[in-house]
Amino acid sequence: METWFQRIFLVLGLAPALAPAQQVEPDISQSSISENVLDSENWLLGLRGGMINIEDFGSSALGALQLSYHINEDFYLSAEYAMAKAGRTSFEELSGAAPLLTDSERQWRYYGAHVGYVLLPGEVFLNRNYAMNSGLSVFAGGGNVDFAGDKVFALQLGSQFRLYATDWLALELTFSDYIFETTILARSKTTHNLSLALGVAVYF
Amino acid sequence: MIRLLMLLLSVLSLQLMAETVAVKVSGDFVNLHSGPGRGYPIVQVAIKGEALVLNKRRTDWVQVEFKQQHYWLARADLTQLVTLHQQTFTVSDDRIAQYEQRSLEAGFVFGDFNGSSFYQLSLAYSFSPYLQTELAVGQANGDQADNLSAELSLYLSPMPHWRWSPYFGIGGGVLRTTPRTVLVQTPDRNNSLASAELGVRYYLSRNFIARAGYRRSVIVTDRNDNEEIDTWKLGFSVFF
Repeated sequence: METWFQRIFLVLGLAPALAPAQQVEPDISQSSISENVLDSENWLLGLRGGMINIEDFGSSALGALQLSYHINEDFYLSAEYAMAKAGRTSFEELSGAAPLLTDSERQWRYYGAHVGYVLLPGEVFLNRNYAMNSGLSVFAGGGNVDFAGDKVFALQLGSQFRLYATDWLALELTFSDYIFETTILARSKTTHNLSLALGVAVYF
Repeated sequence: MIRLLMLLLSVLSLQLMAETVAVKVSGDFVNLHSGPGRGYPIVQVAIKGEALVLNKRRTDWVQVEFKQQHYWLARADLTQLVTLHQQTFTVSDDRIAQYEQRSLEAGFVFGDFNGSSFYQLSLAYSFSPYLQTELAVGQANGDQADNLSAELSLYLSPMPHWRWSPYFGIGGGVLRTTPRTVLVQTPDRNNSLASAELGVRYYLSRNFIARAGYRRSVIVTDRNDNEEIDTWKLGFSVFF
């Protein structure tokens, strides 16, 4: 019984001593600043030109526009629009028959989106004293191909080598494979349409 | 030609004239990398008391000017700096608070639209953590027909604070169907569309969200029966 009283008095005696201890606040006010005062440059707009090999229709010039958003230093998301004009098939050249497609049907259009991963960031040494930053990325995605009067789903796989001329201007060499099903030549088949293009991209 | 290029470059470099912040190193030292990534080498070190100018950010890196040269500083190292007004930087990787407070969200999904491959671009705006509206444009290419849909939806997230956050939504819009025929030319059909969707969002990291959902749509047709369509989708979105 006596120890119970002791405990109660101990608790009662300590309670006021503990309570104000938690109310003490530091009187040094540390002013802080958000990192958001700095402009962020995570968007990248690129324009490129090169060639594409549209299966069965020879090689043609390709133009493409790409808008990317860098999620972090490794991953980015891109939306792409590409255009080309298909040539003539060997059959059309040799047989002298009527062309398979009209002029407007030869317009090849791709629009889609992809996810990219910067696989090999690094530096390229132009001479003994001068290096430029670079990055090799791989990407995969999908979109739409509008070709020969038909719209089909296309898979896009490729890689992009980026060389930074300045902090905000990059030169890009892009290799890309547009994979889609085509039914133009009687039976349905999967075609690989490889392209290689050189371009510039600006961070903003 | 060269003058034109120079003009273009000077116009583009206008964007560089954004706000900069002069700072001093308050920690022992900070590492300065040659590029904005951990793969780029450390080429300089700024020690305690040395002055830097912060220019801009890219992903998790900050571009700094140090001794008339440009380098990149890891965002986490901002805590080692102090401004000339003795302000410290608050760096927090906990963006789940930002995720809950997000207002704009842009997304991309792949999926299956009644057996044909489907993909969709969307833009969403959050009125509150619980209520979100979304405009989505989707396309599905099937063996028989191509479909293009545009829908406006309203989503309700009962548990927005969970990392796995379920949502429910209803929407309406239009569906344009282009039959894929070889011999017979059939006209395009435009139909109204009403849908209900059930899905889940998962906050991945930074400003990245994964999303999976199932959508059931009723297509209002001229025929006696309305058509019903199932859409399964999986995708990503980025919030700002």
